[in-house]
Amino acid sequence: MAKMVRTAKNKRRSEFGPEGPADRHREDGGTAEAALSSVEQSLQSLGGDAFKVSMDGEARTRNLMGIQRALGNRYIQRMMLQRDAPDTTPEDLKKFRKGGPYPSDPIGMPITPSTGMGGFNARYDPVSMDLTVTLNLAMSFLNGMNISGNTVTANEASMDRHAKQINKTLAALHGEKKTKALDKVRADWQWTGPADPAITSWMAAYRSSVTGAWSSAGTGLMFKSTRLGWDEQLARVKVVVNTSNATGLAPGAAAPGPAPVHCKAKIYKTPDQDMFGANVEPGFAIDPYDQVLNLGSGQLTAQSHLLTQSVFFPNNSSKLTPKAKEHLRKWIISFQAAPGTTGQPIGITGHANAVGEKTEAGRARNVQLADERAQNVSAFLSSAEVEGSKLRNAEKRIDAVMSTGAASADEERNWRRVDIVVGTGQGQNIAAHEFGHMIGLGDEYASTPKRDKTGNIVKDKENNPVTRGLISGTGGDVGGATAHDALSKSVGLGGSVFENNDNIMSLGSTVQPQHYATFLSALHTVTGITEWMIKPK
Amino acid sequence: MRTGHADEVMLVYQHEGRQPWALRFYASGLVKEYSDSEMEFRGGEFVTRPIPLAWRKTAQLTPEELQQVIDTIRAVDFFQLPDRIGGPRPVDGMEFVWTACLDGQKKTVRAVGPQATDHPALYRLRVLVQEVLAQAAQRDSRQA
Repeated sequence: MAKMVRTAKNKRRSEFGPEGPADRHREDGGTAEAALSSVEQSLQSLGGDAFKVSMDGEARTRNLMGIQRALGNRYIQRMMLQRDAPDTTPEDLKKFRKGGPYPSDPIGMPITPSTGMGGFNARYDPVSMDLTVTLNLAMSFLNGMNISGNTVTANEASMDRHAKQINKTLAALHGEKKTKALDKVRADWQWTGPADPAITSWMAAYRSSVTGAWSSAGTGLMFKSTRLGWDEQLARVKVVVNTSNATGLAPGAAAPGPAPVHCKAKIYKTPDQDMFGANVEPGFAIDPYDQVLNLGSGQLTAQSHLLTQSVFFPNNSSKLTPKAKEHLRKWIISFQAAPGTTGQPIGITGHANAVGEKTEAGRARNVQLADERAQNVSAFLSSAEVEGSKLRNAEKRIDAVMSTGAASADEERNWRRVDIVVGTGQGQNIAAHEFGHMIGLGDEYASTPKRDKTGNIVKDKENNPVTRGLISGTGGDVGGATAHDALSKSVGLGGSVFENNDNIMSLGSTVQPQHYATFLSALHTVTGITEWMIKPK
Repeated sequence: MRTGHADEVMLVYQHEGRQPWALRFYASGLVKEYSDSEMEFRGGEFVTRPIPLAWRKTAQLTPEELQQVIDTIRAVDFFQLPDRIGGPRPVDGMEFVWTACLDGQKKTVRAVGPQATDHPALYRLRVLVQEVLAQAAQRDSRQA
């Protein structure tokens, strides 16, 4: 291997690379200037603010060197080759790029998705290739709980259950402990006021969380043109969320911050747990500016973990109890693969509690128990017939049956269990899920209502829908079409059906192509061009 | 006049949706809760623990507390309320279902959206539920 001797000359050359094109042009007698101009033009045409250069002399040379360091010799070479190569860009694409952004109005075009819910503004810049989706939210920050004496009442009905539990807990406390508990209720469930510094940081975290979950940079999904010769024309989704603190504003008063406001939001102070019935009031189907988001502040960091379900066992037993079998039958109904799909992988992990761990024999018994428990659950899920059907593709879906013995366990009975995990098992960021509704998507989780022979939903004696499975809510039957199914199909992104899996509009956090249906439809609208497809990852 | 049998359900408050929960008030003063979690105050924190979803006794009201419940059901003209309160169900929104059986009448009211919280009659019932259950819990605690 030749030893590199670092001299003043090759040090300079090394900054451009041993055979750097800029050096070569310099030696060619003055074409470095042309090279620099070419690179500048190319970079400016890409629209990146970081590389917008308009300097002279040494500053331009330094800038070129900086670009070379950042992007590499190959980039500089490519730019030079492009400069020298004949321009093959189709005329219609040149015209399209020159005519942008679409629309020219910087705030974009208001979009009302055909799904009948959601609303945002969209704008496509054909030079930067960004499809900017903007939502402006005026947020009111409300206390989750009110305190009167020693009694707590919830400020929104979905938190009544927690108010009841807090009151019962408080009643059992006395003296200083009760005072501390009441202080804790204030800290967990109340803002210190409309100017609480926590509000500003919460809004920043909300913006970061939602844009990260939905923008192309986070999802890896983007669109590409299918027009002849437009192969390199992309559309990267860039979600921009603007938030303002509108707490205490008089009705009808204009909210501070960017206008128009697409969504009013009520953010109730809660602990960092899933303790609120988050929802979106969609407003009128044709109005993009009348949504209301209701969210608990803790739902920004807390996650719902419905993809992991557990069955429990008696002490020192791996036998499935009738109650466990009933739970597993409901599990099969809830996590059935939609017809025509393979369904997501299932992982089964057996546990034991730490009773007996002090002896070698006890430890061995716990490992054996955990393993037998996992095997029994796996066997039941593979063979049980529920409502005339087995778990579809069970053999393929159950891809891991493991046991941990009593590792990490304590002596609590809750460790006598088997965990069943679907897909990634990743929890759901509820704020990101609700944002999906704000851009026009429906739910994809399946709540599997019980139906009679004529297909009507069966109600109990109190007129409530009877759920056959484990997941309740506003979802439908496994395999049924969701609110965005028709739109997704019409723009070429495939269908969308109810199924309990790790998709963001189901029970998880994964953004799939069909979740970009309203973005793609918006791209059609703002560009007037329908020849776009999802770009494979 | 109350319903005749002590084991008859007099008032039900039920949450339907992603986090099911319910309370049943019996004519005997017994109150049962349908829940999948319980709470305790430990190490300076309120800790919520998952438990199997089931009906459990949560309180025993005194005749006076039970009378408060009856008086409030009558005071809010519960049996004159519409069957449904609130607009369209929000996406992911819960339904809040109140059922009362009193004076030989039975009625169910389903509420959605902000009205489930703020409708004057439902607001009074919600506050009443918290107050009587807090009173009962405090009394139980003193007796213990």
